[in-house]
Amino acid sequence: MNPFTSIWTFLSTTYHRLGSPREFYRISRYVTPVFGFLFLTLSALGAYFGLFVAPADYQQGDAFRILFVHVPVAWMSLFVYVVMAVAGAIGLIWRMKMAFVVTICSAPIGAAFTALALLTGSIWGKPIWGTYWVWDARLTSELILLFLYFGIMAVYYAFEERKTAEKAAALLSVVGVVIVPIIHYSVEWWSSLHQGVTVFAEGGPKMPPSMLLPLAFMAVGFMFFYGYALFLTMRNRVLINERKSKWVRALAMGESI
Amino acid sequence: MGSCISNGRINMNWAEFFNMGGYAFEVWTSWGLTLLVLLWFVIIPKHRNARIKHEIKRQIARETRLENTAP
Repeated sequence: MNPFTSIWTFLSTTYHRLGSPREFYRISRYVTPVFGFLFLTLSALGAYFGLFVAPADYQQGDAFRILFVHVPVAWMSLFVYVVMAVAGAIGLIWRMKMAFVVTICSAPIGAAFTALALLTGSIWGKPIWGTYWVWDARLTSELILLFLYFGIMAVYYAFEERKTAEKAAALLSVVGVVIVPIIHYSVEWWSSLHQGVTVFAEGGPKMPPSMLLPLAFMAVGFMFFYGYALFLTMRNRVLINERKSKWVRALAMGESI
Repeated sequence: MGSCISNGRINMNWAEFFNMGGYAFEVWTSWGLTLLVLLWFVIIPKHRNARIKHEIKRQIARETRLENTAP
């Protein structure tokens, strides 16, 4: 066999295996704890460097340490949305069962990250801006993101028939993806109390390494957390969706698959 | 990392650490809320997984009972 054929065979078998709920359940049993371990290690390092090592900010004192949770959860609120919408599009175009499961299971996690970004931001805003909340572009667009996540969850649970519910939720998530660039550029397009783009700024991050290092650990750690929590919920969703199938029944009776 | 340690933070005591330069409430509430939410998304699905399997097992038991009692 020539190398191109074998690469193609590999890709297509991987695609079909990932598309099968049973294969996902089998493989995720080993992948999920790895995600959990990487999350724990990276966020523990991030917390150590962020709380114990990084010096206090010259303007904000120790209040800036909220950054190490606020910024990663805010990034994740957008990252989860993009993953959810891309999976929704894949599900709608190629009718891939597991893609819809990714969309449905991502929504509550994304909503939680968004709520955390709003809450931690609000707590941080009080001592630094003098107010918990302002109706400015960044905060308002992030609040709309939270309602979008709620909307996608509500649409899914509103339909009796699962396939209709999955398609409706996926469609709403694809349409709503327009909010992501609006949130990202909101601090440039409109004048805002919120700090501008700092880490992904032109010409490199405008942040000292003592701050950037723990932030990077936390950000990558939270990405693995998303993978961990997503796979945990997806495994449950797969069991419910496939509860009538032979392999799930065998699994419930204690057999290995 | 030398530049980060040289500020003297390494010499602080625990009371100073928890006080967070007067921002104890803001810093610990933010970190605590985040920790709680993350824990929630791990504990709940793990519980649910066991419950779902238990439910399916009961359903199978019910079906076998019905089959055995049917004429």
